[in-house]
Amino acid sequence: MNLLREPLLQFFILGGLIYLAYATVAPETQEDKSQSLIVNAAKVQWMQESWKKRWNRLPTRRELDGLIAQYVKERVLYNEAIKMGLDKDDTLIRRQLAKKVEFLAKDLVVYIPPNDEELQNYFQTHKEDYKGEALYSFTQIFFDPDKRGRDTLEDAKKSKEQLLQSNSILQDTSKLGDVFMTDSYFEANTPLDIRKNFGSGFMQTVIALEPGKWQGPILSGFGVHLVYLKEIISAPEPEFEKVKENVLQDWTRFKQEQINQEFYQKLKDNYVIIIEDGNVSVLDQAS
Amino acid sequence: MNSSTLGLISIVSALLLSTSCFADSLGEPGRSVAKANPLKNVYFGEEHLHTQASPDSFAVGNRGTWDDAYNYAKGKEVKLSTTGMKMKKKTPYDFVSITDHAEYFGVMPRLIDPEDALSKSSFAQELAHPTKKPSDPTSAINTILGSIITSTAMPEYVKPKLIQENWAKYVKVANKHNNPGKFTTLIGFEWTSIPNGRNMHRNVFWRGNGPKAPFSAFDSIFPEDLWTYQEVQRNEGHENLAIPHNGNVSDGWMYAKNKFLGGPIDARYAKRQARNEPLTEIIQVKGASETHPIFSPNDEFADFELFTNMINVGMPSQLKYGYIRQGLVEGMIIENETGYNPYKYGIAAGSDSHSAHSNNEEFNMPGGAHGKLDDTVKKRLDPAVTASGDVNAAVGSSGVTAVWAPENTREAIFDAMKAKETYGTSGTMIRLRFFGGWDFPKNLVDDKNFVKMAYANGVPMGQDLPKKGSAKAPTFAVWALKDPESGNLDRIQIIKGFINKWGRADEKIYNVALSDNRKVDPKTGKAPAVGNSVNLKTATYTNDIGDTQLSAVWTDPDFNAEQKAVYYVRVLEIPTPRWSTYDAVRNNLPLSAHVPSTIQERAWSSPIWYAPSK
Repeated sequence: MNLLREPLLQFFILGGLIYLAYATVAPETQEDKSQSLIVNAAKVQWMQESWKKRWNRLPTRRELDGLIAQYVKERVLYNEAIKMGLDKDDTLIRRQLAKKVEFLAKDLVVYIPPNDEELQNYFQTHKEDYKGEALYSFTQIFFDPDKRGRDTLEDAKKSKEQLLQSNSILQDTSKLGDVFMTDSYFEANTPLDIRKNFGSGFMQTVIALEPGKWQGPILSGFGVHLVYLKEIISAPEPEFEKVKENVLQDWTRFKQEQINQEFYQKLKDNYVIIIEDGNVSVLDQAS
Repeated sequence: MNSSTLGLISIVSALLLSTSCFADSLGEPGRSVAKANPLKNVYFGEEHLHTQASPDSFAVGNRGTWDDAYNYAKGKEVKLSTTGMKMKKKTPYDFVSITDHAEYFGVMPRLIDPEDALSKSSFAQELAHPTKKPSDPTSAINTILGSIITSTAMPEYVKPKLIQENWAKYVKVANKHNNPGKFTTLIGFEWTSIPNGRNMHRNVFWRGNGPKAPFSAFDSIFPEDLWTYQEVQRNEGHENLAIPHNGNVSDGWMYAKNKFLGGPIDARYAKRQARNEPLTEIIQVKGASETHPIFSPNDEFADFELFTNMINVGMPSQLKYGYIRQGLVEGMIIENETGYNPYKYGIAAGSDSHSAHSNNEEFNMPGGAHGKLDDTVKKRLDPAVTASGDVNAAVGSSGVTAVWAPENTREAIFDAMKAKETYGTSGTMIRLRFFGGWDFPKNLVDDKNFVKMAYANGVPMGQDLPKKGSAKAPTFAVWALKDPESGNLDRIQIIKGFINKWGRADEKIYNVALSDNRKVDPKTGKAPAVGNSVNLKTATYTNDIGDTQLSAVWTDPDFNAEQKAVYYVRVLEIPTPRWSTYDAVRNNLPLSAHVPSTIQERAWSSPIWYAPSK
């Protein structure tokens, strides 16, 4: 692996560059020794511009003086707070700084665009995600538990025997079962279609059936069914070129998460972490 | 393969061919059939949903995106943005409309995106890294929210160019997920007029890609101005419709006798309202707006998912003119005076979730509806009262819009909404057909050609009855099939609204189909309760009560040909655990004492109207 692609190293290089840039261009606005606090022209201009953005006009003299006074007050109190060490172990500040570091890490992935090979690899290992769905055509006969009660399952089994034995008579399937309000024949349904029509349990069973014979009884949220799976049209293999854009999106999300994890893990590895939670009592959670 | 198996195959395929023709006549063949079904399929979806592009959703900490919301609706696993919890919808939707607030549409996420130029301002910096507490009225987030409530926009965040840019981004993402025949994304936004806490909100939907920019409450808080915008856009070729919602928290303004700016509703006002607002929303997480027990003392199911305080105001919302059942009749009273019915509403329902995922599934309500305010079980079951004057658990797990359309495309679903061939549910996916006519045979619903015959000789939900013939009273055909993932059906009711002899809104409820061979008491018109199989210790129920499917052909026994009337269907499920009960049991917590432990999920059809011929 290319050393330059190592996220942690990149992070330190980036951090170093930012510091260097800051140290050379940032104007001194304060000198701790003499307690002087300089509000330079650039700063005032920045205040004026953000006012203008906010209100669509320049500030008046009074408004600008107010902005400056507010800034000075904030700086003075801030400096004193730092001197008094108030920034140490403050939950809000700690969280804010932690978040800033996370942000920097998150952006790293943008600097490492993937090559085609990397995407191809990702595509190969996650091929199932890009595959279209198979299509299932089937007929079902419904046995209504509201009408048949305890006999429902037995009735369905008997009808199945009848169907399996009859090899000469063309039967109207509705005579065998009960009226089912939507449909008896379903053509070229995706598993999702079947799930929407009959619920997930029924779908799981039906897509695992062997085509070409009456099967069941199969249970659904409605009752009991016999199913004849006529045919399965399997989905074509996905082609990389066609789904490349989706692969890139998924890869980026995957990589970002991975980098965040690795980055945190490496930082964490620099610490010996000791947790002394002694006898703190906790609530048992069911799930 | 020997000749006898070949013979069998040919027999079976002949058999399949014959059942296939038979199926077609029933309507609703397999949904992936490529050609449109003239007898229509039902499609379930969401018409009210917010992401981080809505300022209030952003304010409560939601960072869920448009992609997240679409992916969840499609049944993909997504992470709740606030806690990272993984969640997945049990039954994916057929269509979804994300309806972010038009006010500062899409602006908030850009303010905290370090790569966006908008993030450089001091205001954006304060928003991204707040120094003030969120409760501080001058905090960045409260400045934003306050400006919406008072309709005084921060000028830099409503610049047309900015809003157009954000809107175009949304349309692009919506179009990426739109997959004709399989999954529809309907373009929409929410117009958020809320003068003095009175909810006058409308969601606006587009047949195509829609306009250049949404219309916001900063542009105007008056419904008449929204209608003008809709009419102008329509003339430009952008067909659209609006759905008003939450009459229950409108302080009695949503279905009132008066115009929004005062004075009784006149012909022009009524006509414009009817033209621009074909549907209204009957339920969402912040309560049902069907009716209130005060107006419906004889309706034992009226006390359902009520949410009666104005949002974030905490004061009771005026009940009168806030509910649809009475509003439908008020509309007919206004029609008698002006010639037009402003409240000739079909029915829709949605979630109004602000956490970027629909939450209609009572048994699978994973992430609350309001960002960080209710994203954990502990927060949801907290007995403390919120700014809206009720506990978090009073928020519901609702609702679904179902449409009958020939195919699952943006245009077909929009057209079905415009035609009011829709119904709403409290979250379940009951299938419901409802037709009205004058000479339906008694056994119509048992006929193989039921749907075909009903369309040929009557009208579907959402329309006026055909002209009265020689028949003395209208007949209605209704069937319902349960949601395979939910409870059995308890009953089908037809609810009739009419103007009584004193000129007031009146109602009557008929139990037209009952499960388990129960009978209506002829004296009271009531039916015995279906029972209750819920085990509150385990949050489970059994389907040994109730029926899988119910149907009826019913003739109005109290019909008065001189009297205007409106009829709609309500289908009830057997009691099942409420989401708050699932939450508590799964986490070993006590049940909330503030809300019912069980719920009878239900569906409400769009009405069918009768008017005497002049």
